[in-house]
Parts: sequence; C-alpha cells; structure tokens
Amino acid sequence: MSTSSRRALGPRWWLMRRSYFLVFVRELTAIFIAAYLVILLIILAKLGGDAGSYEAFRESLTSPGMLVFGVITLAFTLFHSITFISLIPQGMAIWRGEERVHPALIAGPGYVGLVAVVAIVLVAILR
Amino acid sequence: MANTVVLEVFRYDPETRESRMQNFEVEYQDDWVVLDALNHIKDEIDGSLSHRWSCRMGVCGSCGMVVNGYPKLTCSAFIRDYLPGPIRVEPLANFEVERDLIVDFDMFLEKLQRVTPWLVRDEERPIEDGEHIQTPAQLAQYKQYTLCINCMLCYSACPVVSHEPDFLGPAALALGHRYNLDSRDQGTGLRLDEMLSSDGIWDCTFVGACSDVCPKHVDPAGAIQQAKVSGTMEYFKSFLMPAGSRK
Repeated sequence: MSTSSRRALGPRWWLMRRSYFLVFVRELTAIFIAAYLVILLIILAKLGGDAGSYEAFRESLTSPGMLVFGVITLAFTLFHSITFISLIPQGMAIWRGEERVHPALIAGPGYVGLVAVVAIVLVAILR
Repeated sequence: MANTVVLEVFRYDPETRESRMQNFEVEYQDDWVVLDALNHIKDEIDGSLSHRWSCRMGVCGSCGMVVNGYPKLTCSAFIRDYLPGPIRVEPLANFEVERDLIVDFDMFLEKLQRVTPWLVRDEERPIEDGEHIQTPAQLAQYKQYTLCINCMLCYSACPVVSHEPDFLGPAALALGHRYNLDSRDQGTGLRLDEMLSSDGIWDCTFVGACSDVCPKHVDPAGAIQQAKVSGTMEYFKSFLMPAGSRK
C-alpha cells in the first residue's frame, strides 16, 4: 500500500522502454570516452618524460584487457557520434521561407564530416 | 459470443491514502477505445470509479492516462491494439493523484505561469494603429508549438520531471519557446530569466520521451534544444551588447 499519491518513475526507469535505454547507454558512453581521453593525456605526459617510461606505458596498452577496452570505447564513440548527429535537426530549426529545411539536409553534413574525420585518422595511422 | 477484455485499473482513495489495482472484465465493441471501456465500467459496473474526460476526439487533453506503461490519450487508444489484454490503466506519472485516475495539474499550472505564456509588449499600441502584421513565414516558426493541448502526457513520460520535480518541464518550456519565437512578442528577456534558471532548459537531458508521446507532434524536446541554442546566444550577446541584447 502506498501512502504518497505521486507516482514517480522508479530507479529502474531506464529499463522501462527501449528509447529510455538507448539514452541511458548514450550517457554511459561518456564515461568510456572520458577514460580514453585520460589515457591520451597520460601518453602526452609520458612523451614529455623519459623514453623508457613511455615505452613501458605503450606496452601496457597492448594487453588483452586494454584492447577490449579500446574496442568497447570505439563502438561507444561511434554510437554516441551517430546518435548525437541524428538529434541535431531536432535542435536546429532552419527555415526556408515557410518550410523547415529537411532533417536529412542538416544531419547529412554531420555524417559526412564524421566519415571524413575517421578516414583521415585511418589514413594517418595505416600509411 | 461477446468480446471481453480485462482492464486492470489503478484505484486510489484520498481519504485512506491507499492504492490498489482492480480488475474489471468488460464486454467491448470493435470500435471502442480505452475511454469507452472506462465509461462502461463507471456506468454499468462500479460507479465509484473516477476518471476525467471531455471531448472524446483528442482535442481537450483531459483523458490522458498511462495505458500498459505508456502515457496515452485514452480516447485514441483503441482496445483492439491491446488485445488479448489485460489492459493496465493508471493515472499519469509524476503528478499527485486526487482519486483513482484523476491527477492534480496544479504543479504544471504553477510552472506554466513562470514562463509568461502570453504576448508581452513594451508599450501597447493604440487600436487605431491597426494589428501587428505577421508574415506566413513568421507564423510558421512557432505554429507547431501552439498545438499543445496541455494533456500532460509529456510530463508523465519525462524521467527528469520524475527525478527533479522542480524542473519546469516539456510543455511549459515549449510554450515559453513558442512566445519567444513570435515576432509580435517583446518578452524574451523576461521569459529567459526563468527558462535559463536552474529549473529550466539545462535540466533537460534530451531523452526525447516527451516528443515520442505527444499526440499533437508538438516536439517539446526539439523546442527545448532550440531554446538552449537561443539562450546560449543571448548569454554571449549580453557580454557583447550589454545595453540591449534581449528583445
């Protein structure tokens, strides 16, 4: 029996429906992306130090655990980027007279930019 | 043989402050909506059941309830879409329940007042000067946000409203944005003081559930994100042009 008449969504609200869950996952991705940025900052700091320290840290990044972390972070980064770009048209109203510009024309350049950045990074790494 | 379906209906007694679910087996017709079934229960089975409704055509916004976990206008929730049942009917989430399926909208009305939901003019023009001319393009910018029927489905679906009860919420912020976009209005500064406050647009985490459940496709989530862009621009303009950045 309840004594309060206000029926709030419970602590498991993010499991109640698919759209809630996807938003929750998108928020969760930020933790992995932030952790990866910390690793990048550590690499930069090690580069400024002695070579042995840098090599030891670089070697630690090839461990199976770190590789799994890297794959998960890559997947989460792509998920975050794609879902973020898909939401841009909702928050950006561009008008051509009495007609609102089609969402695809706003999100499209975002996806093109994402692919271009990924291609540039891949070329830089693999050549 | 008559078609029957079971409705699991939330009951709340404000005198004892006790709640429970009660099952009703209802004979329905093919074209019935959930509201028809509730009216049948009240008329034929249990007259003590309390629920709110009026137009039965998705215009008045009175009959919003949670049907099988989703906020819906019960006048447009067809029973055939929920078969074989049971159909669980509860009051809107995030509002105080007055009795059974009736919720208290005072929380929303207080928030709505805070965004000054009317046209504000610095000086009223004399009637003989004529109307404020507005082009179709200017009207198009805000027309979508005038379609809100205050059904409160968006407040029921919003997890931020649920966990931060002071959040102004989707419908109030969308209406604030509607007046900010209106070329006849001069009250943006007044409105943004509330919309940019700690209870305002920055509390929204863009879950988007408000827009998903909106029966009129008002897209309050989009309105709030657009208000964030406008608010940010106003913030920077206030440094560049402190004398009069807000209209």
